[in-house]
This record gives sequence, C-alpha cells and structure tokens, in this order.
Amino acid sequence: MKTTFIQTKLWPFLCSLKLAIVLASAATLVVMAGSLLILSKPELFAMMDSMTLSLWLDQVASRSPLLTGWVPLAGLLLGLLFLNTLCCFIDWALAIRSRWRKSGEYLIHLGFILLVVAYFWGSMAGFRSEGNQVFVGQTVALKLPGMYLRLEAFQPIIGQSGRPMDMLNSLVLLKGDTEVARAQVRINHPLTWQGLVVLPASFGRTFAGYQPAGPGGARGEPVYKTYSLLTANYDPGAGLALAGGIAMGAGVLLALVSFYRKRARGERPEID
Amino acid sequence: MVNMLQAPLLYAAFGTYLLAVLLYLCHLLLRKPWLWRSALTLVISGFCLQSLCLGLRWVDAGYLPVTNLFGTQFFFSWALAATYLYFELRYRIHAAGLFVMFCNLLLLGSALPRDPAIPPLIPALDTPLFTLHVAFSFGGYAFFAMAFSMGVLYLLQRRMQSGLLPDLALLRKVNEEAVFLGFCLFTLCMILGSIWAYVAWGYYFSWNIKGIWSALVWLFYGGMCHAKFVRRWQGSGYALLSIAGFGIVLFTYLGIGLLMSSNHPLD
Repeated sequence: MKTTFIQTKLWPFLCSLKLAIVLASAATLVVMAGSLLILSKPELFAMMDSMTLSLWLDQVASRSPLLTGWVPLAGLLLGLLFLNTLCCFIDWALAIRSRWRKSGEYLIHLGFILLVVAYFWGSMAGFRSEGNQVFVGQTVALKLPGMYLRLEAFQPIIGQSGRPMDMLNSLVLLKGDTEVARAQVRINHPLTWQGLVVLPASFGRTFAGYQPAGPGGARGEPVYKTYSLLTANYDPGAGLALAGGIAMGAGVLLALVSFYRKRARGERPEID
Repeated sequence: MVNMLQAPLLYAAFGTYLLAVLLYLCHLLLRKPWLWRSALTLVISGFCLQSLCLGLRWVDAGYLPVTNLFGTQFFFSWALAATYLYFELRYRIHAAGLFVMFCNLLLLGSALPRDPAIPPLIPALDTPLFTLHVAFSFGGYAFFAMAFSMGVLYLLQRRMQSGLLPDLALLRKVNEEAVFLGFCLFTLCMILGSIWAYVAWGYYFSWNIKGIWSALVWLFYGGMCHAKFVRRWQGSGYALLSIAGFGIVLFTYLGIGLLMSSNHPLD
C-alpha cells in the first residue's frame, strides 16, 4: 500500500514539471523583491562576497532577520528545486534506454544539481580571506591548517597614465615545509590548488626607516617596503562546480543538436 | 584606416536598416512580394556593413570592443540583426520580426552620437572568457528580444485574427525556438562568466545585483523552457511570459548597468 502511494502519488509529484515551475517562479519572485534591498542596505549586503554564505547568515543576516530573511527563503526554495531536479534526473536515468534522446536536457539538470551541491559545500566548508599583506620574502600562514604562502618576488606593472595595470607575484604554496605549488600570479591568472585559490587584489608600501646618514650627519632618504595584498579563498566545492558547468555546457550543445533534429522531423513539444 | 571607415560604415548600416524597416512597413500595407524581398536584401546588406565595421574595430583593438556603452549597444544591435536574419531566412516571418529591427535601430541610432573610440583594454578584461561571456550574453538577449516580439504579436493575432500577421502556430513556434536558443546561449554566458569570476575574484557566484539578476534571467527562462510542455502555459500564457522575461532582461542590461552601482558598469 505504502509502495503504491510512493509510486503513484509521491514520486510523480516530486518529479513534476509543474512543481519545478512553481518553485522556480517562487524563487524568482523572492529574489527579485529581496534584491531591491541590496542597494538600499549596503551595511548588510555589501559583505556578501567577502565571506561565505553560511558565515554571512551567521554573523550579519542574524542581526537583521527581517531585512535578510529573503536570502534563506530563496535558499530554501532553491533547495526544494534542487530536490525536484534530482528526482526528475533519477526518474530519467532509470528509464534512460527509452529516453536517451533527452540526454542534453538532463545533462543541464545534472549540471544544476552539481552546482547547487558545490555551492552548499563551499559555503559550509570554505572560507574567504581578503587583504592578506605579504612582503617579498615573507611566508604567511593561511587559514587552512598547515598551509603557508611565500612571496618570492613582486613586480607591479604601471600603465602610461600612472595607473596600476597588473601585479606580478611569484608565489610558493607550502604544506608544512614541502612545496606543493608554485605560480606567477597576476590578474586572471591565480594560483589554484585543491580548492584553494590565491589571486592579487592590490599592493602598497610602508615606511621602513631611513637610508644611512650622509657625511654631514644629514638624515638619509626614507625607505619604503612594497607589499602585495592577496586574496586567498578556499572552496572545496570549486572542482564540483566546474564539473557542473561542464555538464551543463555539454548538455546545452547536445540539446541544441537534439532540438534541430526534432524540428527537422516536425515533432512538437508534448503536452502535459 | 579604421577611424576613417568606421563612421561611414556605421551610418550606412543604420540607413540601410532604416530603409529596410520602411519597406517592411510598406509590405504590411501593400502585401507585395518585391517589398519584403527588397527589405530582406537591405537587412542583409546592413548586416554585412555592420559586420565589416565590427570586424575592423575588433582587429584594430585586438579584442572584442564591448567594454563601454557604445561597444555594447553596437554589438547588441549586431546580434539583433543576426537573430532577425536567422528567423527571417528560416521561417520567412517578414514584418513579424519588425520589433527586433526597431530595437536594432534604436540601439544603433542612440549609439551613433556617442564616442566610438576604443578604450585601452584593462588587464582584468584581457581574457578570452570575457569575449565569449559577452558574445553569448548579447546573443541570448537578442533571442529574448525576438521572443518578446513574437509574444506581443501572438496576443495581437489572437485578438485580431489578421491576415497581415503570421498564423498563431508559427508565432508560437518561433517564440518557443527563440526562448530555447536564448536560454542555451545565456547558459553558456553564465558558465563562462562564472569561470572568469573564479579566476578573477576567487569565487564563481557574486551576490552583486548584476550577478543576482543574471541568475534570475537564467532561472526565469529555464522555467519557460519547461512551461511550454504544460497545456495551461502554452499560447497566451507563454506569450505573456516572453513579455515579462524581456522586462527582466532590459532591467538586467540597462537598468542595472546604467542606473545602479554594479560590477558590470556600462559607462
């Protein structure tokens, strides 16, 4: 009796197309309304990219639940949409022999599933760390236990207008005393290692004393030390997110091929 | 060389499109085949001129020049013309796609008085991911504009039953195809944008207003790709969704780009 209810009512409901539309519409409306608050309340929302979502919910959103409540609500709706998509994908996979022509569309579903899992994983187990001040030759500890970053060389690239254009950082990533990665990090070229991503954010200089006094006893020129400001984020779900993106991209290409083949055969969308 | 050719090419493309739209309007009233054939020839000519201009600007800059408002308007207009040509050559929609050509004229016309100079490329944009992200984005927007056009005409045709417009079945078919193709291109835009965000900022989804609304555009049209299978949402419902969807697209591109502070500024 229980099995029959699951097979005839619950499972079809969980896989339902209409449920997907209702959840996607509800999530769209909630985020639309909520996003209007983002610009009017920068003290609450401006930091969302500087920390993981779970940390933001814990440290910032909890202070103003009324103004930030749309974020967990949208998360809940997207979570339900994730479950619906997962059930839909499993339902397709179980009948793949007769429904393989829809592989493109379901690869897009799989991509969405992987992306949601990856984002949740990264939010829960990752961290974001901005403005790490590192001098040339200095080794700093990262938030990941046992991991260190050493800046071996730094060269800012200044444009003709005097505006900084790029920052060349020769970086070494260490696990204890062992080197695990080495890269020249600049804009759009980060150092990546097992979910850790290190990239340049800015640079500056700090006063480091004076040059030795001259023969007349006059004080020497001031000396400045240049430092690099680095962002070091850790997202264990980044690889899974990339896999989701690849699945989605492949799904789009397959769906396009399938779409034109169907149109060539004169098939119309089936009616639910 | 490019500076010398750019203005004449731009104005020639605009003039050609304008004449094409006028001929299509005449065709709506007079129903003479030579009118739409001439109009189509003009659209193709205008598109060739605009493509040549885009190609010259691209070669001159060394990157796809879409880093300011002029560049994005010009590229969006080119994508709209390409979309129109695709549907015209495939389905012979003639004047039914006029809205897209009006959008094209509006974009190109408002871009003409702006400074077409190509700004130097900042290192953050110096990546193929930028080119692909922007190209797929405007390709998707152009298809969504076509879907909007088909949605409006579907509702009009349902009420008027006019012989001047394509039948409801064709309008629905083109609308669905435009939404599907737009969704596919926009998905690729989002994937490439996310990869670029990860290598540039260290995270692949930004809670910036532009990132959020781009995700909304994707979610909305993803929902529409499902809605076409539900009887209640076929026909008029789908047409209304196409109109609403384009409202979201316009807000995401122009509303946020021009009126709000975001990580995708237009000017």
